[in-house]
Amino acid sequence: MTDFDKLIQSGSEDQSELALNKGIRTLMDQQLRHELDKELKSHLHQAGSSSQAVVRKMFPIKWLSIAASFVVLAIATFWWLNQAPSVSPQQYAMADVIKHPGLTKGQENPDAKRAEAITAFNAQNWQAAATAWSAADLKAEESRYYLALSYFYAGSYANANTQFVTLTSANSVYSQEVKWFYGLSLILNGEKDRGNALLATIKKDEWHYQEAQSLLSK
Amino acid sequence: MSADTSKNFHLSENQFTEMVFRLQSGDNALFKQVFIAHSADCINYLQVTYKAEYDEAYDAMLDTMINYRQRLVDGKVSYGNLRFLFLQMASQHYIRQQTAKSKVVSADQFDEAEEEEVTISDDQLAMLGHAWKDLGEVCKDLLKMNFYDGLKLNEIAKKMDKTDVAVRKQKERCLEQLKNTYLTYKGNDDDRF
Repeated sequence: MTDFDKLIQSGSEDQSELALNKGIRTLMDQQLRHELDKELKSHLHQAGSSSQAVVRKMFPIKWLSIAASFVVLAIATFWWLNQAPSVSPQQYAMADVIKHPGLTKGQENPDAKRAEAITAFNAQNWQAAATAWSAADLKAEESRYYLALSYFYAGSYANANTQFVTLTSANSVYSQEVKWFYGLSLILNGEKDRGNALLATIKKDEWHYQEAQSLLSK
Repeated sequence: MSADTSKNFHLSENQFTEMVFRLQSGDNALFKQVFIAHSADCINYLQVTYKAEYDEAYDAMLDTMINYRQRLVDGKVSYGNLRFLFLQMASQHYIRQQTAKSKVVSADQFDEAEEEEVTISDDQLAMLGHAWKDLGEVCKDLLKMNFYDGLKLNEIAKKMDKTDVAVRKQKERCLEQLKNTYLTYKGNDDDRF
């Protein structure tokens, strides 16, 4: 092992860079560890306590207690099976990766930009798709919708929202999808109240009503 | 297809490539989202397999995430069975933690690979942290991209819209500045009682 100070003061640029490289990476790792720790603690809040129970040694327990545990377990299982799955907005974000239906067969399409955008989008190359859809005709609702989705899948929620907001007409062919994705995107962008308000407008017979309700009930 | 994605944190190969691309662009969000979603699985695995205490399993899992990120950035992880690799690495971290607690190294056990590692004490790291804070944003971005996000200087030059030579020179100046600021802090600290 070589001491950090020894390398820094060695007079050699290479040695000094080696030490600073290690030092900077350690600082960055520390920062990431801190962020992960914070986010994990809230994520694992419930799982943590139950996981500890998994390996805890079993003490001698009266049969009655064991029987009672089985009853509780059966009730809990029944309750759990009847619940909508608990999924966070983050998990929903990549749950529906939409495919563009593609160019209409037999129909000539002179718009090369649009074709390029569709190809990148269906290849899930979100950065390239966003760039290509931005260069397509943004007067077209389709271009704005797929541009918004490209930003959304790339995690650029603020950019996605500036496109989704232009697609909120009830007459839009994408209106149901927009309610869901725009709602999620607002929540993921830290605008929980606005996102929830939008998800609450999803009607019973519309796309992702159940999922919206499960997010709203959290 | 579904069997493959289940072994790969439910990521398709394209989504995996996207995650690595975003990490190399300094964006950890998708990485965090994926790994946090699978953290409980990892902790449970360590608890069941090694009868680990919850806190120890949690620490090993966190260390593994940090290490896994670095491997992804360095292009050392290929799509195939990401979950298996995660659990294997977590096992190694856990075993290493346990061994380190009671480790007395004898001459024949001495690992030569460790010889090359740079050791940084908590005090040194704290002073480097102060020096890092004093560094300008451009320097911080450049050094982070190069050392942490794994970008080569020519790739950084493209991003910064500069020539390779200009970026190389700037990196030298940034390192020099960071080193000098660190040594100043260290000098001040050494002057204390």
